[in-house]
Amino acid sequence: MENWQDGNSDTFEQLFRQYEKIVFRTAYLITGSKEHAEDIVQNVFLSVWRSRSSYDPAKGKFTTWLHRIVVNECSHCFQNSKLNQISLDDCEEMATLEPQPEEVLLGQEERSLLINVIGTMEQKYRTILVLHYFNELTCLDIANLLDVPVGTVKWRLHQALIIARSKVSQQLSLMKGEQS
Amino acid sequence: MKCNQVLENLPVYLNGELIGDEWTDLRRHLGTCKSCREELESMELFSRKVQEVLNYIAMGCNPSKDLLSVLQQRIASEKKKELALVPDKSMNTFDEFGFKKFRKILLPVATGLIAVAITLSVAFPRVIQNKNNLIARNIALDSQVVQTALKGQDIQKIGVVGGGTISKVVLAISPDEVIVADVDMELKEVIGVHPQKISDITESHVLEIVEADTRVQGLLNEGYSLFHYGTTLIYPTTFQDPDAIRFINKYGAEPDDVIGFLASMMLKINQNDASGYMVWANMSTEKIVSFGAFPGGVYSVVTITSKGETGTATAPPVMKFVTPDPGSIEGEKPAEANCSYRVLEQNSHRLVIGLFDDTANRRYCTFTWNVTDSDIQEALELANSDPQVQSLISRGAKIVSIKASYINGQTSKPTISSGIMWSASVRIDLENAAYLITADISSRRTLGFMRLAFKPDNSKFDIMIP
Repeated sequence: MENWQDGNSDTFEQLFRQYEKIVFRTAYLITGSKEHAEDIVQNVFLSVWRSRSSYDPAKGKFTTWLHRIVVNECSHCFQNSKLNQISLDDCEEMATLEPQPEEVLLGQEERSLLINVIGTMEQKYRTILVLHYFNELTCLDIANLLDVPVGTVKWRLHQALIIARSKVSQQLSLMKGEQS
Repeated sequence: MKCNQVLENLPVYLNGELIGDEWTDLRRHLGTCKSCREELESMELFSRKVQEVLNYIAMGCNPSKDLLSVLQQRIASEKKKELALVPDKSMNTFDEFGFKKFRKILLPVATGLIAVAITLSVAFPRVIQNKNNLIARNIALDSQVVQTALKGQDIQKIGVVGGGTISKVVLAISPDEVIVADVDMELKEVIGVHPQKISDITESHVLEIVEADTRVQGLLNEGYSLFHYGTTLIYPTTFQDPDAIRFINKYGAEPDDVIGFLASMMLKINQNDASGYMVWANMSTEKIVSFGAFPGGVYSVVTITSKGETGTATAPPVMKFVTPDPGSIEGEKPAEANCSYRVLEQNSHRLVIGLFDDTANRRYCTFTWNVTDSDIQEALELANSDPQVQSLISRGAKIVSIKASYINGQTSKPTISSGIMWSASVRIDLENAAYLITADISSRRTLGFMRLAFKPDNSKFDIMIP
């Protein structure tokens, strides 16, 4: 990956291919919009290209640097448009995918509820959930990336889980009540 | 530590991030507070559900258009802007030395040079470091024979494999077609031009190239046999296929060497064994571009988090390679078909997946993986030899089950190999937790050693170990 910093088009293309999906998916999960996520992917890699000479591997991992740009771009996106709800309709290929057999904890009903709940959460909570559970960043990494104290990240993460769990539980109870 | 502090720290505790006194205090509190213990269990389960649903959404979500081409246009525009800044800078420097009066003369010259630079950067996108390769390439491009063979088609990529009297210049004109020019470096002229299509490559031709390699011959003498790694892998690296480039980079090939059509073969003594050698041949230049070993136990360092105890360990894959059976071929897949794999059957001893084209609503082929009793026995032995497993066993854990399973290649983690992965999981139960070691059979790496959040439910597994 060394040469992309020298402006080599091929290695930059390789870098793009390697990280395109993760950037797109992170942006989609945070913004809830495929259109925005596609714009964000381009803006992120354009920023990477422009800042290629200023990135210093000795100061931190490339992925952390990349995630910081992604989160910044998502924030810009929020400043210009309202938060979108994650929509299952956007994910055309989803129906063909099989979740990992060992991993399945959710039934279809609960999964839909949880998608809905996460998709309508406040941006600050949704961002933390995505960075921690999807990108698998530690609270310390997230704190550095968002430039907030680690205690704030811990608190937001806890709150996000409490809020989401409570909403799912409420809606499940409502559905059970309607059925009976 | 009070209950509210404990609750706030639960997500980081579950992730193994809590350390030192905080971890000790939290553990102590959990030992005496039943409600916090219950909350821990609930939070653990819920956080795994959140993770599952985020991965589920993400796995099905891909960009709808080719973002790279748009990005490249924007970058090209940036590059032009960068270049456009040069004359201004030059002028300022000249001014310092009192050359302002020459501006009218120098400006057109500078602009002309920039125009030449832009033309060159478009015509020669790849930086050629090897001088002889650059010469070979220019000879090929200047050759009338090559121009005739091109029939006016644009060249998408150029690769040169040199090092001898004859250099091979590969001119890629489409994802499935190249023109190979043989350049005699002493005569300084093209002595042969060979148009080649991806469909021209046959298994016997691959065998011929691979068997000519002295390293391969040495292994064949040792009792190894050539074995196709699944179906023949041919990558259109002419267009910088990212999977191919990543794979080739892993084995130390030069980027120029992989312009052309690549085919892979595996050398194995025992087809059911994970060990072997992978040979990659560039079928356009007829040269071996990489030769790599797959040791029987590909060891990976994995991070282990179990009940707040975090450490690293070297974990072997828990199951050996299971030979794929090509199964029934139900039609040739067109190159442009957008296919995906689906599990058709999955149980303890058998995995069947089909390659489906959802648009055309048809299945092209079926792959069957059969797991034998000896595979299971070996998986158990490997699991038992793992130091982390041994540590768990010393604490009363028991290996309770093993199964082969399917992991969709569209993983969220770019560091983990893409493509279809086969995994074998060994489940170990201890107290109210279960542990799972997972190995990616395709990439022969251990993907993880993880603690499962749910309580043991043996009915979820197919093979019970007494």
